[in-house]
Amino acid sequence: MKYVPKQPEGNVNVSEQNPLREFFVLLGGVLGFLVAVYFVLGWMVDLVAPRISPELEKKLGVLISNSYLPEQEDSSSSAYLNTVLARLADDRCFSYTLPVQVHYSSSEVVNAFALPGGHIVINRGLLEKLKSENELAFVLGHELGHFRNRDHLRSLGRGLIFAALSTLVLGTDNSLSGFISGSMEVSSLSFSRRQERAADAFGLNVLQCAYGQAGGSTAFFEHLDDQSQNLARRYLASHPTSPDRVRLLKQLIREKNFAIDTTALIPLPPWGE
Amino acid sequence: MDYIPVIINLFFLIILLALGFFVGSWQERRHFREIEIRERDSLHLPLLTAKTLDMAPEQVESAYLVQGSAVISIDYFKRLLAGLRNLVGGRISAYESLLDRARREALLRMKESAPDASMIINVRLENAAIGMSAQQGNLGSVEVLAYGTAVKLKAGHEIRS
Ligand SMILES: [Zn+2]
Repeated sequence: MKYVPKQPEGNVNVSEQNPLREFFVLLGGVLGFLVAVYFVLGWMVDLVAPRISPELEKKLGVLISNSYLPEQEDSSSSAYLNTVLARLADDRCFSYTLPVQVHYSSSEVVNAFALPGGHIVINRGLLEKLKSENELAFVLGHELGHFRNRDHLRSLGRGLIFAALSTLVLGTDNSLSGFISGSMEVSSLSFSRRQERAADAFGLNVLQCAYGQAGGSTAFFEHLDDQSQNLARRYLASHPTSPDRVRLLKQLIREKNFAIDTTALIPLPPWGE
Repeated sequence: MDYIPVIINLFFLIILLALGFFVGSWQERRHFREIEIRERDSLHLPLLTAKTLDMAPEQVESAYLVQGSAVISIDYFKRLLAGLRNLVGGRISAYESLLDRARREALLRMKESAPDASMIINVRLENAAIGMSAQQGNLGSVEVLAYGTAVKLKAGHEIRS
């Protein structure tokens, strides 16, 4: 037998698959699967969230809320905010399984949010936009509405699922995890439009109950619209603002015959340095 | 809580993917073309894996160690593709071409280092995953080392097969 060296035709060691096609098929499949898992788990969170005991929520609060709570609190502003909150959460207008507490944060971002364990954080940026105690009471009442509807536990649960899934798939140290954690920040503290509308309606009731009138409930959104659109869009990140919200509030005020007395609005103290 | 950082991250991800895909596949095509030409040019030099050959010492003019090594890196696109493939299993085509290129390039470099040999016997291939990501369990780059013994036979003593 004579050996004749010869080059093989084609390369059997490398598959002929189109890499771009393979990439999109795999990416689509994996993402689709994760989205399905996320929705199924999210649905389970919605089932579990209303059944979480106060003891467990307290533990969750210690575990999670601490990273969001401001480090140093301005004592006089905090004390004032808590007296306003106490007026709302006096068992007659609002009661919760845990004592509620409000924290003053010096952040300039126009935002306020509800955290597990009965914590509300309100940023200086938002406080500066308020013109009366009644407006503040409405904002706090809105956050109390999130507690009542357990929205804070739901969104936390979804955030945890998101984090768990992304770490499971990508590992903790991956070029994608920065991207994922960025998206998680947005998703974990935001609520759906339906949840926001329910919280608005609840906040309105609490305001009426504690102050005897609903003045100040719509004013906040109205002068947010006066401000630059940028600020409004920031607030939109966790609290979508739209003319719809004002319209809904006005409609509720009309339906329930709530009084509005703009002369009886209580002025605000200056906020901490 | 802005969407802007997310969008920026996504933008950079897509840029890196596009860079990896276009530059990576262009380089790969070029490399394969080059490999084929060089393989054709070095067809005359046989490679044998046998350790010993049955021949008299006086037939051999000289014998010496030859080696060639190649380090080839995977591109960003393929790394992500392989990562996705790892989740579901199957042929990791992204790595197939990487290893094929490294293997053939190493063999070629070995052959080219012994242009006047009659044959190279006892050819062995070693490979190693190297680079930063090798420590994290991902394949970053591969090194393939090819080595063997180049044998030059005296004129008129060619082996008949
Ligand atoms: Zn809200």
